[in-house]
Amino acid sequence: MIPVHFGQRDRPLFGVYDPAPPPRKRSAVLILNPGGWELIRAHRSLRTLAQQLQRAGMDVMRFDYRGTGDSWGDADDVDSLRDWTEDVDEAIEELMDLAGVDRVSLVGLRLGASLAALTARRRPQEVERLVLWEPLPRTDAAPAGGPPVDVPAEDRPALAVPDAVLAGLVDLDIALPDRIGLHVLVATSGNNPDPASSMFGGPVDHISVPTSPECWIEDSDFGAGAVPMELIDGIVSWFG
Amino acid sequence: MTSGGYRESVSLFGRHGTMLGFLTEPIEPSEGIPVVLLGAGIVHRIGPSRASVHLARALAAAGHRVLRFDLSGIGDSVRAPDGSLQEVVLRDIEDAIDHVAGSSGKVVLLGYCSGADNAFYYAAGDPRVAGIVLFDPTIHRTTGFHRRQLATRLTAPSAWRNVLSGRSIMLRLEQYADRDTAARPPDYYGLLVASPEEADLRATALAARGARLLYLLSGGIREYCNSPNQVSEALPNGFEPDLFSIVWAPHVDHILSTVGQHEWLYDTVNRWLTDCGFKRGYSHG
Repeated sequence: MIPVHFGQRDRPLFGVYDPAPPPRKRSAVLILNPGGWELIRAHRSLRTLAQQLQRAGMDVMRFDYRGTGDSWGDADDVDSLRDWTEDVDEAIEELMDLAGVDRVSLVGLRLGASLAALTARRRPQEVERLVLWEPLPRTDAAPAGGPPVDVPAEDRPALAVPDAVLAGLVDLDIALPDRIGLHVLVATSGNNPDPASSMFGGPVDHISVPTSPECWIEDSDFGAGAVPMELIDGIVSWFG
Repeated sequence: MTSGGYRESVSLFGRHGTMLGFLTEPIEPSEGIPVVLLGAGIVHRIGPSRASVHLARALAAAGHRVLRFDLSGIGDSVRAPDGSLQEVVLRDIEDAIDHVAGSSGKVVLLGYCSGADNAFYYAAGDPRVAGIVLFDPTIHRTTGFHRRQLATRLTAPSAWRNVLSGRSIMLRLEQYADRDTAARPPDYYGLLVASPEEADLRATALAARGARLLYLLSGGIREYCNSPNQVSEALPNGFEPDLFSIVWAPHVDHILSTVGQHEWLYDTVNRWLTDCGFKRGYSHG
């Protein structure tokens, strides 16, 4: 595990890079977290996923968007959803440099799935595979609990997804054009319905583990979510 | 990383080089005492609602070197190869103090919830700890607690309505029926909670060497602490009013969930550091 700061010097992002042990598959995976409160609750699960992918021979990186986690800034420093897609671009460049590869796969959880799909649409030549883990329904405008509009500054949630990002998610269409020809996996747990057929015109693979815990929801007052091992194993197996 | 008055670096430290920590330091040379932040439960180093990130950066800009880190097996720190969880936590705190203050420097520990229990438990055995900030630590229930609780119930109209209507009994039956019997993995809460007698002894030892304690008690712990006086009640011999301070903050919640609560935390801690004389005499830079 190698902690790294990357991106622009005056507003660096923080990431954790897990290089593949030999024999390497020369395949790199960038994990995109769900942001907001869910970032804390899902941390153990995303770390576990990274370690499992690493053991399977892949180079893996996780990182925090600006204004979140260990990265630079606060929620006030995020002007739009575009800021976080730019951060994803920076992370892709960093991972390509670290792993010495030309393409990366993206795994996004919840809001991270939206960012992953947007990125795949913008950079089809550089995205190898795409995993959408519990992608947000299209109509869900406030996935991580957006604050009411008129609250005083001091009463604003300290960890919510910034308003500017939530605004960018309203009616966001993350469907991928067929012509991209990307390998896509949709992974769901709990009682969530299969969103694949309604979101994508083209074929996608789908893993559903109804008994898996929803890792972005706090479990038993632990402050974090339980780790859905079966679902994680399924995602790792899909990479082959 | 350099920003408004502080710089931040990340490293792997500890006796095995496997603990991930962020050191946030003042850009200008300064004399503030180093501060080590201890997280709650299994929440990673950013702290409840990212409070540790905000607090570390603000305290660094105010002249303190601040370390926030993951205990072994939590966040991104590797699980320790040996030792019980209790032993590992104590060892990790010792390594964190070594990292930020060296073998002879003084330090302030600041812990949230179980992190506060860890700080209190550890501090009595390490003279480098000159002060402790305890946000929502375990406060043992006292006779005073039960008396106040009873008085509250006897004077609450809703309690009488529940008794007379039979709802009180139904609620207790439902609570029993819903009891969660699922097996859970061992977690990091309650590992280092001293018994009432031991807590009093540890407080006595801390007071004897002049350590300063700041209790920050939020509205989130009313279930086991219903008055600021409960701290002195629970430490009948060890409580030293000249050294131990209490801030009763019912407007604050247990996870410091708002921007205003983060500002309150920084203002309160920074003022206490000033009042204790922890702003000068601890050169680094």
